Amino acid sequence: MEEKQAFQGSNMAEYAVFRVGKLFCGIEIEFVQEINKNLDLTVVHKAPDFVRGIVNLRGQIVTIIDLRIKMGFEQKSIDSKTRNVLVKLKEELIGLLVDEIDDIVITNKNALLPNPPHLSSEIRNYFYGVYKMEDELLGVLDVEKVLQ
Amino acid sequence: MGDDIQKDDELLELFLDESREHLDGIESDLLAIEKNGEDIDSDLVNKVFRAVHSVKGAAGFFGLDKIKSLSHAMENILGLVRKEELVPTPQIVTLLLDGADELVGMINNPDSMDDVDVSDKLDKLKAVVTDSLPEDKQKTIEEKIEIKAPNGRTIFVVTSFELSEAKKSQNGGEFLYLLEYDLIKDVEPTEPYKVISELLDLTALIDSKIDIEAMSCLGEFSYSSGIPFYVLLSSIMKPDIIESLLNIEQGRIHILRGDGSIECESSGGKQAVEKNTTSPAITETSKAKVTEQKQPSSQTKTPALSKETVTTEKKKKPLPPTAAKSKNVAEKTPKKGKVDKTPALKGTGSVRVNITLLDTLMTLAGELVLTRNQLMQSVADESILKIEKVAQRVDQITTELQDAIMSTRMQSIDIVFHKFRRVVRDLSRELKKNIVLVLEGEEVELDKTIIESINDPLTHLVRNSIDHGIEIPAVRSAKGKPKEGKLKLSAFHKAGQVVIGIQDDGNGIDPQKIKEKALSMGLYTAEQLAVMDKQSIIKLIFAPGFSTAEKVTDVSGRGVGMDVVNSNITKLGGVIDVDSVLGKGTNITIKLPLTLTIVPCLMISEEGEQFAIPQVNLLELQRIAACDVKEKIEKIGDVNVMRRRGELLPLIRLRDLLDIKNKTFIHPETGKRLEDRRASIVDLRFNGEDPENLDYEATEEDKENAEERLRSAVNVAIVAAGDFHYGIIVEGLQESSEIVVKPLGCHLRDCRAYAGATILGDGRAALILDVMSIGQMIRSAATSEIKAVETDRERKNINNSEDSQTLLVVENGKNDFFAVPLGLVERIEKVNSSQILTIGGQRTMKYREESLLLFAIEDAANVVPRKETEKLYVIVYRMAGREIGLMVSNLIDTIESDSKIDEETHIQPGILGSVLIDDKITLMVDPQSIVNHVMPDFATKNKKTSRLTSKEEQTVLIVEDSKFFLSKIKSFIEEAGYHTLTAQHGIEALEVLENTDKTVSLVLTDIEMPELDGYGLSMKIREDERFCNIPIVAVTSVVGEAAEARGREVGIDEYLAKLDRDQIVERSEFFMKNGRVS
Repeated sequence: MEEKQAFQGSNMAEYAVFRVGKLFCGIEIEFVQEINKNLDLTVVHKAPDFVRGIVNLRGQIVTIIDLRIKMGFEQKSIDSKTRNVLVKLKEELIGLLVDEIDDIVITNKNALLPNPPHLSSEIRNYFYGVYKMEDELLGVLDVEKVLQ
Repeated sequence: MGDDIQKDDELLELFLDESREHLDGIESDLLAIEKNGEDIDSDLVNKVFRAVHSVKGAAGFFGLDKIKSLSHAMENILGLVRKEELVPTPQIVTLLLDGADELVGMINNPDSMDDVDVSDKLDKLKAVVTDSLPEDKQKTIEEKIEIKAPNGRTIFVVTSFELSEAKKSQNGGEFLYLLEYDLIKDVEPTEPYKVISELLDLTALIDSKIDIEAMSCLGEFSYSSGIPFYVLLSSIMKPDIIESLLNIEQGRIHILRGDGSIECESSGGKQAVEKNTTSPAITETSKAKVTEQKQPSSQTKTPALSKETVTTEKKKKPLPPTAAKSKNVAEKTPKKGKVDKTPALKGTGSVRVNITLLDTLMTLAGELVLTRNQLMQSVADESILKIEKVAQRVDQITTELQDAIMSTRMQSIDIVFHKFRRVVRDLSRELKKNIVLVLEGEEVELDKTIIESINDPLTHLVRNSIDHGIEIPAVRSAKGKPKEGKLKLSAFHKAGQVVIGIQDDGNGIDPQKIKEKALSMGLYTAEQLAVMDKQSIIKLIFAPGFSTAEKVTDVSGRGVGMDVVNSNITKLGGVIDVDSVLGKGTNITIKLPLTLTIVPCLMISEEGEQFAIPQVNLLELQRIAACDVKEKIEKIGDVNVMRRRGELLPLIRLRDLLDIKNKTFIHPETGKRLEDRRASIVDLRFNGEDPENLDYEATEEDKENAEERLRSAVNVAIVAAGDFHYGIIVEGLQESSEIVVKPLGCHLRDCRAYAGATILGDGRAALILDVMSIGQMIRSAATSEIKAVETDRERKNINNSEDSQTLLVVENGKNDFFAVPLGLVERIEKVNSSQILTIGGQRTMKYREESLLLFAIEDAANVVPRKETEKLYVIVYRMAGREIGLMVSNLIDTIESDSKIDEETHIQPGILGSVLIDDKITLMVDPQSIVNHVMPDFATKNKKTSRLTSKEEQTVLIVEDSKFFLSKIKSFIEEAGYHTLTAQHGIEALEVLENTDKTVSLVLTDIEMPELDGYGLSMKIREDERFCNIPIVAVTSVVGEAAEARGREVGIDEYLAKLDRDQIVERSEFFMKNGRVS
């Protein structure tokens, strides 16, 4: 609680950080409802290619979006590291399939840099901007755009 | 106006909610008042009066002046009606109805209230009151009396008429009080509404108001006085009683004189004596007193509230009063954003739950928690026995909980029905028609969502009936009908569904006109129309874009046709049907499920994935044995089709529809999944050219084993999307179960193949197929190709076909096969032999909470007894209002048979005759005769309870040469609760008519018969004046334009197909009720 208030006061932000393909991405922690391994998927045939399927989350049907496809990577089979990041958008719970979950990162919002030009245009479209971490770039996902 | 709203949005919502409730029934009540006319039902008037009165009282509290003044004006009229000083003429009721509409409108859109102009309505309402009064009293309306607060400010301006009315009213009395509440101090934040209701109950409330101006005028020094809220009321109660009754501070109750000036305060203390002098003096002292009282009052305030007031007041201070108000609005806006949405959401927003029901829910929830604890314990103990017990308990509680929760969603259909009183009244006035509305079964309950969605389609249908159906009185008289048209809305439960009927005695639908229209719109060709029977033609009104109104009227034309109604009903999982007799009337029936959230579904599987098909869409399931595939499935153009009782059904393979990749199939012997090399199951079977590619199911060795063949057969789920039927080829058919429908997320909205998802027993999600949308997808492609072929064939069929029917082939004794007519079967259940109990020599099993009587073929017939197997099948029939079961050891196949039934050679109890199936003589089982053989009194015993007495008086004569069909039709009719007489040909029928002492209400006859055929019989009946008014319905396979025309000539009223039980019963009932069609 106190910490949170401190963030609001200052310009700090918290991100849930994960890997998708070769990308290192983060989502503002406020968006994230939960992260789980509930990946007993039911495939939805004829759905858009980025929809990996649906799962039952405590009685609610949640659509699972494969971030790899969204980001322009090949589909990958689900393994022990695959996680389902549940975000809430317009009252609907949606799952984002990520390759691996990393950490929680706290950083100063002022350090956000514009997207570097070497990223593909679709990725740039989904990123607000990037932070320079120790040895790589952390892209901040624009959840609304990703889920459009 | 709206800017005076000082209270929390929440409180306002409460007011709006309650007002809605008050005004809810007002319309029907007003209509009832109008109907009663001079003969006033004082209870009813009182009810309406109180409703309007309550709205008025509370509206004052919120400063909603328009609502207040309008309800006030209405109240005045109702007051006069109540005292029988005013007769509620249609004109007056119209004004009141308009007023009520306006009130409802304002309450539903509180934010646009400012734009509403009520002055016109107010003037009209006031004029009614003025006109009704004797002249000497009329001036009392004009006579204004100012009611001033002790500080001299004018709080209310009322007319002396209002004051005298209040005194004479129910709770009113000689005393007139001005109460001065402080909303901050005297009234708890959540309570003000309660205060008002209390006052409304105890006294005659004349006016109420929050004095905003006082607050802004008094400025900084007096903010602590809070928000003054004044109430003007009349009561019979003495000052001291009022004081003790209403929890209000001494000195804040002012007694008023007849002229409105303050007489004294009720405190009875010294101060009161002091003040009991002249008015100006009072004002002075009380002003002082007000300031005096402020200190204690500010101390008693709750901190949170005072803070709020201080801030508002401070903000307001530098602004002049009017500006302050507008500022206030600006501040309010973000909060009001919430209110903005509410009217739209209102319909679905809240539910009122009976408190006992809520208690039940609480108890159940408690039980569930306890059981969970037990479960955890049992799991920890690893005791299977305990777990089993708990599981049972969980099962029980869940069912109860589900039922209880479901019932909170149920609402009576009256919510929709009662609106039509007004619709019918207004419309019939507008169209100068004379129509009575009859409502039946208003208490029938349906799910809230269905109730909400049924309103529009019903309105359209009702408007249609009034506009196009019922004629104007002059036309009606000319036709010899009563001048007054009748429109009946009814609702009742039937077989787990709700049936809504809209019935009028208007002009009916002219099939000829429909034909012409369909032709001109190019929907059908003349040839197609020629072979359609009358019912199918009338049903064309549901075709897209169809409307028969000769001119588009304002009332129901509007380009919105019955097709919209149809698709709306279908969306709800309902079915609509129409039945009309030209000149006599139209009868529309809508069948709806009770709820949309829990849907009985059939689970099917494809590629190891499970899908659900709603039972409501499901017509039947067919297994086509591998060897029959070639024969039964054909290809027309690009479409695979299947024959089903003469009808060509387009087929779609689920895996093709859904583009399921990795095509595999299950090897019928090893049960392993193998790669499927076929492009399409039907393709290869049909062409069958390359034996290499023929898959396992069709090879010779399989054919030898009947059971194996069944297992590897093609499964077709035949479904209905409205009147379009098609088959879905699926890999596996599983159990049917009740599933809970869950919506799909926004990313899957465009996947039209799915209606939603559900959660399976193992916790996984499964998709529900949207039969309607899939139907639409394949319809356009399929119909055009099929139509041409179909009409062609149908015509041939009609002329050649014998009485074809579907038979279920079963095995009873080992290798002893029987045929059972499928049309009579309700359901088939697979059961364990252990489930069957023998009690008192009679076998029964527990089935759907009841005990089902079981019979075997050998009980009556002299045949090899059933072989004892662990699993057996029970074929469920309905007989004399009860279900019975016929046990057989195995199901073999369903076949379409058009070979003739031999009704002589093999006849014995329980056996109707024999039929050739695959060149073998197969005995045909007659379940009714088995039951009658074993329990001769079965039918009579059950008759009494299941039949209505009025029905029993009616007798139907059935004429049919085939004993098989005769017994079948007889059972349909007796099942429906009527007496029957039978004859095997026309001559015998005439003899029966001649000799019976019963009155025959209907003749059901075959056309092709020996001695005297149906046409001849009909002619003879029509010639005899004793019988010429008996309706005659042909039940025959000879249909089509020519046959029907011939039939009409000789006086046959309608043609029906032999196999359709529902249709036969329904039409029979129709004719027995309405008599012959002119």
